[in-house]
Amino acid sequence: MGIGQRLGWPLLFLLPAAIVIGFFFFTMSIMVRISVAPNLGPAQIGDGFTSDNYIQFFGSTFYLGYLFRSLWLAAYCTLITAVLGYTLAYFIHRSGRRTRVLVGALLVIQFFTAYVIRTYAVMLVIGKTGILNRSLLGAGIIERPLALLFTETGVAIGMILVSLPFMVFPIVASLQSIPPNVEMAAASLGASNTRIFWTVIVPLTMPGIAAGIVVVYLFELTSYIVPGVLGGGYVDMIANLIYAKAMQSFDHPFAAAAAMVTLLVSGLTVYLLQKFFRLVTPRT
Amino acid sequence: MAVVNIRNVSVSYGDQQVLNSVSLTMESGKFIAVLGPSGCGKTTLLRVVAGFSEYSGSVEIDGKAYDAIPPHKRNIGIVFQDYALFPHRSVEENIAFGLRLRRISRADIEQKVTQLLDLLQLQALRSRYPSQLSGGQRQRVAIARALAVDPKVLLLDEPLSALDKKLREEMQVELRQLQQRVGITTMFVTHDQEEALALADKVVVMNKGNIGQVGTPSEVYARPRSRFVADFIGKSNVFEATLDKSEGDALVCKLAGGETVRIARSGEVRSGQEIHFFVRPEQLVLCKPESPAADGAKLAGIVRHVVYKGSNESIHIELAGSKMVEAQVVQSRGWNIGDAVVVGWNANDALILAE
Amino acid sequence: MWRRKHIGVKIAGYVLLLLLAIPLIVLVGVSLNPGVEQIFPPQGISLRWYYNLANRSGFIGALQLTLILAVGSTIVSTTIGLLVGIALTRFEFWGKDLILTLILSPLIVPQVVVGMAFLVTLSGLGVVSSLLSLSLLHCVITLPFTARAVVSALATSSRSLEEAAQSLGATPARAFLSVTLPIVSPGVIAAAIFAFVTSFENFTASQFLVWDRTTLPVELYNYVQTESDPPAAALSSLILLPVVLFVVVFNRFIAQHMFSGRL
Ligand SMILES: Nc1ncnc2c1ncn2[C@@H]1O[C@H](COP(=O)(O)OP(=O)(O)O)[C@@H](O)[C@H]1O
Ligand SMILES: [Mg+2]
Repeated sequence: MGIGQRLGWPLLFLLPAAIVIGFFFFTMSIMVRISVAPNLGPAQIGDGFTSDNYIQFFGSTFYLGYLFRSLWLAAYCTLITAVLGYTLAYFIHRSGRRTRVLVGALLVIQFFTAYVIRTYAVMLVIGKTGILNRSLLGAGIIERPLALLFTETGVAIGMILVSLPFMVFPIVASLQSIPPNVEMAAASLGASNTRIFWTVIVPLTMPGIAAGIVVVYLFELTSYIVPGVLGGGYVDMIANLIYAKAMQSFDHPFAAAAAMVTLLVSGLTVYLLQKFFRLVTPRT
Repeated sequence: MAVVNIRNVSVSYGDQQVLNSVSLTMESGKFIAVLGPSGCGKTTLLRVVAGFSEYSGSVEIDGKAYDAIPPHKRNIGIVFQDYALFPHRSVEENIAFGLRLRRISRADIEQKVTQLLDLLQLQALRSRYPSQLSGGQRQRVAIARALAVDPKVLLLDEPLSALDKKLREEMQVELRQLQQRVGITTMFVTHDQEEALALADKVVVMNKGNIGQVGTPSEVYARPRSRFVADFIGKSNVFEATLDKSEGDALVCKLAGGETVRIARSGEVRSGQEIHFFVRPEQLVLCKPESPAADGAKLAGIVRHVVYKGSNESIHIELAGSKMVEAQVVQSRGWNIGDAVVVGWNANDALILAE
Repeated sequence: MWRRKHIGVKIAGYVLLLLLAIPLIVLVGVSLNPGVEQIFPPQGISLRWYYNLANRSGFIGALQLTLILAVGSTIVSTTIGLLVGIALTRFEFWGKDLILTLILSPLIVPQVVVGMAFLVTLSGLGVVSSLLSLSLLHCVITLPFTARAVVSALATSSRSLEEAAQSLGATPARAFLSVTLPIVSPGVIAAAIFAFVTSFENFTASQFLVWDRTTLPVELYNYVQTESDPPAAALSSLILLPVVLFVVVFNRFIAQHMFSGRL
């Protein structure tokens, strides 16, 4: 027995959510519509239907370049983020209470701090006169400042640092859910630490790795701030293209088509990633 | 088969002393039960032998010091309280895990696994996953997995505590038979005294990180050395008394209320010494006032509570000075609450507690 | 815990921590510079740029708008989330999974796509951007977080307590309000905090809807794109401060209720 049994109540309770989510789906459908509308010059949208916007996107290596660069950059950054994130998560898992609290606090602070601020902070570190270059120059390790800012490397560094917490949390959670004595059981049967890590710990944390990789890949694929601040226009990604087309060229139909492509591509990648991880996650 | 010698092992976490200079010998092929209340350090002792805890003191197996050997090179089988089966591996793969780490041919692994599946009656479950097994089945897989690598010693950490009573009793018998068939030196940790008495060749009673008593099940039951052991192993009625004199095979002493009783003679005792002695509930003799009582004591009391237990009854009696005792009687003479009763015992059933 | 083999992990772990901490330390350091350069370590300690913020109406206006948006959308989406939770866990009807999936669906749509969809919709309707449209956007973005957290808190809370209260004479509504709600309130508060943070830091979708007033992340982004003096660092540090305080003071709450007791 709940608060009541009449169907009227749940409908009433769900009404506000229906309005909000309904509006969301309404905007999505409008975007679909606009993406097949003809563009009649800046901020002028025609009435008919056309596939020109999509043809324009897929027909040009220039536009496709944004998509492929985004896919590629996000792919290798996600891989690096996964390795670093796993290391950090494993470190947290193996640490005593005190270190765990400290590291946890630092990660939560990162999590709660706006991307803009964290990206800007990275810029202050890797910039031409940033602390990194100044200390490397000062130590005599390099002779000229490293060009990191406004390069793909700089963008990659920023994306990895900014998305690291998203990777760490799910992996820590899955490390903690490994049944407590399983590692010791493996050791008593003769498995070395390395062996235990690869045959027990990694397989059992596969769900955490999968969750982290999916979230981080989606986030990095559609990054706007990091390429914007650290790429300085030289390393623009797909989100930057959409914004520029919509807000600077006022070509809403093309921007809507590019957004649709982004949505479908990211949906497809998530689907493929999940399929892949279902294959490599051992059944239990 | 192996002999294990544990010498002066101490473990502490921070300022908490969890094991306090524990020494213990496990004879070859014997089944040893470590018995103690929860938190007394049983698991810690087991982890010391397996090499998972830092400790001072030494662990020797067949005369060889094991203290510097890491767990994965000790070749000691261990069955955890929660079984710790690998959730991502089937029954078969769990059992084969240790074998695969050794340079053993596929065919030999297959043969060994099949042999263990037969031994523990797991043939039908070989390709199931741990989540698809019942508690008793998991436990058998855990034992099979530990035995697969022919360990020198088998350590079992309360392996039956997760099972319900009936299954637990069946598994006790199976476990004991299995151990005898394999002939492996086994340490079995439990907080259940009945289980320890039923299974073990030797019982080690632990209390707060110390070993209270070591002996055969009948020794620790019949001759507990301390009040803790007497209370922990079976029920007992403990009395305080002052020693008066010795009379033949018995000692005469006075209870707090002034009653004179006779108890079994043991060791060196002085007149006037304060002592504790105990009588097991099944050794208390109850009779009606005026009828002839047992030779040891004749204490008047009133029946306060009767618990029917099927094959026997336990009668709770209040003696002088509000002292409660419990007697276990096989055939009810129809004691009722409020009946006046005389409690007695045979002098040689009342035993002094050494500590 | 630490075995010898793990020394490598330990070193790597501390290096990674340093990598995460250094940018924030540099940020605060830069904000303390007395000069106009963004240099670390600062060439002296001065609060000059913090005082300077008081004259920057752009930042102040953006902070106001961002706070209004964050507080408003947190209240609205937490309330809606609670209603969704009650409907989905305390009533029996068909299609609950589908409803929850629909409510959570904005989570898998990239922010840039959400912003783009709002932009074309509003301009199609001929509505100019305003606080209202931005608020609606933020509710769409935060509702999945609050609904998910509230539903899982209510679904795992024991029904027997509520039933016990009813057996003692409480009406179902009363039983829910006086027994279940207090028990799930940490989960609801955690959800509200997530919603607040999500709204506060949202940039990518919001930038499509700002008009002559912008949100703080957008203002900061535009500032660091064009200027290279320390006020942005001062403002960022000022925003970092309450975050750090919150995390330090409510460490236990955060560990238990926001990251599932896992840190
Ligand atoms: N890793 C640990 N850190 C701190 N104290 C511990 C740890 N492991 C066990 N203890 C403490 O040591 C004592 C003995 O524990 P244990 O050996 O598990 O007891 P038992 O198995 O007999 O129940 C307990 O008081 C427990 O709290
Ligand atoms: Mg234990």
